[in-house]
Amino acid sequence: MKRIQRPSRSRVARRLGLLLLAALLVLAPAFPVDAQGPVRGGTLRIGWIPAAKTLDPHYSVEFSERYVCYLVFNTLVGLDRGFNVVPELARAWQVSPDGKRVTFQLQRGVKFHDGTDFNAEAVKWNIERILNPENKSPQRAPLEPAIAAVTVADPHTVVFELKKPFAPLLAALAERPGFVVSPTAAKQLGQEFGQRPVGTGPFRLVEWVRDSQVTLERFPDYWEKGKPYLDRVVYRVVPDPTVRLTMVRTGEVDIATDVDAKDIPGLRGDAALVVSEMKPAARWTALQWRVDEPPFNNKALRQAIALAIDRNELRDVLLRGFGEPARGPVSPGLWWSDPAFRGIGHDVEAARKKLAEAGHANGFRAKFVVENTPQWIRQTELLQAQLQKINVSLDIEPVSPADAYSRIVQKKTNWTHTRWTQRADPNGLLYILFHSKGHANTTGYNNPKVDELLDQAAAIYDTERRRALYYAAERTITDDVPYVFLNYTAEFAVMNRKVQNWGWVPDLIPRFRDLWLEK
Amino acid sequence: MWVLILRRVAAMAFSILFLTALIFALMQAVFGDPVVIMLGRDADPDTVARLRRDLGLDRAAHVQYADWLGRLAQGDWGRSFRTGQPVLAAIVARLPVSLELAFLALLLAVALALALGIVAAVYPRSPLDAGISVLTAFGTAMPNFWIAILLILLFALHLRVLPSSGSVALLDDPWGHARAMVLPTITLSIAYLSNLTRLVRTKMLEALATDYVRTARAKGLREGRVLWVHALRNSVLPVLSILAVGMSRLFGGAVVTETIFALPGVGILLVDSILGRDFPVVQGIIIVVTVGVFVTNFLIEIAYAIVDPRVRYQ
Repeated sequence: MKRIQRPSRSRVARRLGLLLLAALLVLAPAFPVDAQGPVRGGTLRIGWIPAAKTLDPHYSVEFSERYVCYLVFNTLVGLDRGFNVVPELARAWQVSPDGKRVTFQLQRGVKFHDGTDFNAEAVKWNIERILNPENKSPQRAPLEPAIAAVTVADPHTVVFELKKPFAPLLAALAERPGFVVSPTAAKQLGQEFGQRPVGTGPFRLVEWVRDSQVTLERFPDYWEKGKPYLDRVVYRVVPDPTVRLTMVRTGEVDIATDVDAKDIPGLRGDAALVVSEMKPAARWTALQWRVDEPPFNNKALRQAIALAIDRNELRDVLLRGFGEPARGPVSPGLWWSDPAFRGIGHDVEAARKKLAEAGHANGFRAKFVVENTPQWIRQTELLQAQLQKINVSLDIEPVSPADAYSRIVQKKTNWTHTRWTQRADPNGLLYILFHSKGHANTTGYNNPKVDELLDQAAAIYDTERRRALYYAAERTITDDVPYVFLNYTAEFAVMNRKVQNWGWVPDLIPRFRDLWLEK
Repeated sequence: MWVLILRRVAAMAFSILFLTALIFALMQAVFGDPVVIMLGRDADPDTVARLRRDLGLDRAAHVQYADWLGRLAQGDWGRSFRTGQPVLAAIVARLPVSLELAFLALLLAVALALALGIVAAVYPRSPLDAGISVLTAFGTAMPNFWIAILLILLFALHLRVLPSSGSVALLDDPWGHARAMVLPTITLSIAYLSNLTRLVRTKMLEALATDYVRTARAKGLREGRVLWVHALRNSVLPVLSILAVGMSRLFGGAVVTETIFALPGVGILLVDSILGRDFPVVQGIIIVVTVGVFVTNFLIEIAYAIVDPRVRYQ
């Protein structure tokens, strides 16, 4: 694409025009010529990202796997597009006055795909499966601190006895720990269950050809009468994002998520396609470092670097103008987002002063580890140029993306970049990253005030009171700079016009099960 | 003959031993920790430690290797760390796709290389020869994935005659299967085809300049007979050698092609296993590929003996 020097005014106008067009494209399906209800039948073909290893939700690690799990399984409770917890397999629940017992009433007449009954025993079996340390489920960590025991009151009532009041429990049960698998099938298939999953979901597995495709078909005995609308769903593995997008354009697939921002402007002319942008974006990028050892145990130094970064430039260059600068670890639009919070801005003069205060008036140099992909290398180059302005230099060390996270965990990596997606409960992310006991706390961040705020907030069920605590926590965390928050990124889905009822859930996992295809 | 086979098998066994030990040592030295990759960012340290213990990854490297070797001797190839599938079953499930792709690419490459190479040799320094030279230079220099994307954009997006990616089982839909294999085959064969064409051309030119060809022409033989029976047969030997090398490379898994066209072959499995630090699968693939290389080399040796009456083995 040729780069023409334009004066800034038309650049603004062009960007506004793009935003307007994107908004129109997103809203267009909401105004159909003749408003129809759901249309039954058809096969939805999805351009799927690779790397799916298991379809057992209690062992699922890869994003791609959950695209399928949400169709084959149900969770105990669900999430709507506003990220609120709503009934699913549990049709109602009550919290005891002391907050240490949650009672769920379950839907009746629910069957697993293998014909066995879903009931309170099944729920108990599932939770115990996750909690059992011998099973080594990665989903144990969100549940173990909270759940003492699960008891069956009657076939359709299950009771969670908690070790302490724990408000985040419900949101956790809407995610991977909450998926309910068929105990009969899991016991029978053992390790093979991940290959041949059996749940209560609207679709059941027909076949899974690894690295090729997954085929699901409608489960006729699904408990939600009238759903699903589609007959079949086919996930076709397409590793290359450009090819994925091409296939939506040729009509070989109906929908693809995980689209690169750079490909979006090129779709402007295509009337057969709908582009859906997740607004506001619920994923943020950041820099992280170890704050419990030199050189970054120096708060003034951390603040200096945070002030020197021009997030708007990062957004414009890396995200093609989509997304927005990040203020803190909370994406906008969530019930615990503080609209008044500004975060650390961009101020080069203040940065220089902070650097001097930190004792590095003559400049500072440190190693920076980056994942060896074009996108992150690009970001690092931009950061390098920005930080040069305050005389901070980066010694760039590329590492394999596969090893990047484990190196951080093993403390082989100090200063690097990272990204995280929001969970349905504020505790889901803030605790694991910023509490001194959080299991994903790889910065060594330990602020007793933050610990106290997070512990308090997790024990209160009242959203209003929790919100105030999370506002305070966000401010303190951002000010302490264990992470330098960069941008809230944009996420896109591209589909052909026949696909109806699409909507993003802020955990950025596409929910395909309620879609239908126009004829 | 049997002694020859026995010697080859012994060499193969030794190679497998050596290669697996070497790769294992390399992986231990260079790779990160598979357990964190397997359990993801949410797992607590206790779960990570347990899994590491269960998989035996907390033992010394040589202990792990010896254990793996011991189980292999009993026919147990182990299970994939990432998927839990038995290793041999996982690899065997992928082989047909890779073998078919390699075979078709080879067929196309050899057929076209012979045709173009001979034509270029018969009309040297003509516009046709120049054109073929340019094409082969292009084919050698351009990266695989770039050619693949171009082909997809042309045939799938603009002309809409072929699918962009994906595979269709042969038995389900033979015609669809054939269509799905066209672009991957072309992509995989291009670099190989280009090299082979140049080689055929050179060797043919050499053969056509020899005394015996001149004699044959002087005797009044038809040009066709001169070409096919005399010149080609003698220029084919070095081509066979290149063929052996090429087949081994193709057999190892055409990683880029398989990735772009989403063909579930051994190549993709190998890359995913390396990235996922899935030691058992990587070791398993090394064995399978080594066996394949040895077998194809052996077949080429037999072919040599058939084609060249001067070659005889003890």
